[in-house]
Amino acid sequence: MTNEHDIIAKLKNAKEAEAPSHQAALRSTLLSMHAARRARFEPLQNFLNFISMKKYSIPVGVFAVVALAFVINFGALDASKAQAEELAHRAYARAISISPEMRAQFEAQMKADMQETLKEALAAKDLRILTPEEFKKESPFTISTTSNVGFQAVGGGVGNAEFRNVKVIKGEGGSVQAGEGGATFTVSTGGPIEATSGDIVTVSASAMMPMSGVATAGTVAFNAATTGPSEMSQPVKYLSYTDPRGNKTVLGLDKDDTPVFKFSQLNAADIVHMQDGSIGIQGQAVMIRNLEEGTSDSVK
Amino acid sequence: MDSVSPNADIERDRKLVEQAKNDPEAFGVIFDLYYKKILGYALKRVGEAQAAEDITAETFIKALRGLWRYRWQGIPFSAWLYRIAGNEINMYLRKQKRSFSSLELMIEAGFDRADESAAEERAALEALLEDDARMVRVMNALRELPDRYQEIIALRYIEGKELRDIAQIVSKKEGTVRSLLSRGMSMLRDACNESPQQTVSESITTNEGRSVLSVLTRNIL
Repeated sequence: MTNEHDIIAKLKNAKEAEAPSHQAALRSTLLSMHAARRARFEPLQNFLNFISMKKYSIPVGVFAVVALAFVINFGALDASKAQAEELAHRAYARAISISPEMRAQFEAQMKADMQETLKEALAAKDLRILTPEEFKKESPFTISTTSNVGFQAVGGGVGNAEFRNVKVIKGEGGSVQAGEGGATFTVSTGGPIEATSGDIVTVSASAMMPMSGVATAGTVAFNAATTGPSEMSQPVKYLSYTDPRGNKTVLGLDKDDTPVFKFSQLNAADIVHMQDGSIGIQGQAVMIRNLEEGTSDSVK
Repeated sequence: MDSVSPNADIERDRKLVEQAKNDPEAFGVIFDLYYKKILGYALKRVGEAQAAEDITAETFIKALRGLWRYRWQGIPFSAWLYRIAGNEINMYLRKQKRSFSSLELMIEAGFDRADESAAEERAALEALLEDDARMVRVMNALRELPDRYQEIIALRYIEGKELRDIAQIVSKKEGTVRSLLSRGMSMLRDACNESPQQTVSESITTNEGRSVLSVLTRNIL
């Protein structure tokens, strides 16, 4: 039996815990985080060091006032961006924690890689949170259709949903989302589209997955084969940023912070006017037709 | 327990912390100095390898994030680290399976570790705890105590900290720490005695028939 001194010694000198691979991975991560943080604040620090040098002591008072205003403003912006970054981090954590099947479903829905998208968002200098109201008000991707145009989901066992005064929202990578008053209806297409008032979105039946749409007079009936309103996660939070290609982008997150859609501003250069009057998107099997009488060139 | 004189360690840490504000490698040195200590402390407190790793990671990430706000006020940097770790441990024990907010930052920053290594290391860590069945029983009883007693007993007897150092870590007066330690040891003895399995009398009674806890209690003062 161990004597008392042995036990005290065990308490005080228990074997050292070791986890070399965890230590190495954590060390590397911490140093990367340190370097990233330093890169972010070093210019300001250098500037402060520069102006605080002795020979610049005379204008320091003036500078201090300017710097204070800058710092206050910077702090407010920083806090706002920090909140957006925190939301993006949560979304990232969510993206990697959901099952591969769920992720594939969401990625198919938003037609984008969740992790890559969130990395872009986190790298963006102008990342910010949009409230749902701001999203509706400010989003350049929201364009009202003519009043009383109905979108009706039929078939597919998801129930019918009809939305009036629908807004059609365009998205890079293929989501077309229509919603009003919190209701959302999403149609997956092959690429970004943009519709203007009076346009009806229709999709080439042979090319579109997973839905096809057939235009009828004033109403577009979508065959909601695999997704529909009841199966879609509703976006309740929005992140706005400019992606590396310079496109203003909005990322919609559901209540669990799962990315559910990504919209990027349409590049006008990608719009192709087809001979038959329809409008296509460069490299995408999507067409927008104006079903009303008249011309079809109303795409912005 | 520190092998070098405490004052030398404190001065070394003070310089390293100042350097670390501008030099990632200096932070790496601090990390290397304290990683095993914090991991071991967390492991013995929570008894689970994965949780101990997560707590360790959370502790160093919070230390890194707070590095630029850290001002030397005569309190050793190690005390600050233990304080962060203690808070994380207490939160974990209060809310088992809590998620650690900084872990997603780690993943974002490229934290990468092979699954096989993780499994092997965790098995080895937990084997450390099971090395001595009698100590396992005492440790289990210790984990049943309120957080503040656990923390002080662990710091005193597992980490070998002096009362003065513990006072700095837990932000209490030395006299308060002494009282809490005495009361905690008394509670630990009672908890062990109430255990349905034999434990205290067998597990912590020495060859001479004296209770180790009595010895420990006497050693507090």
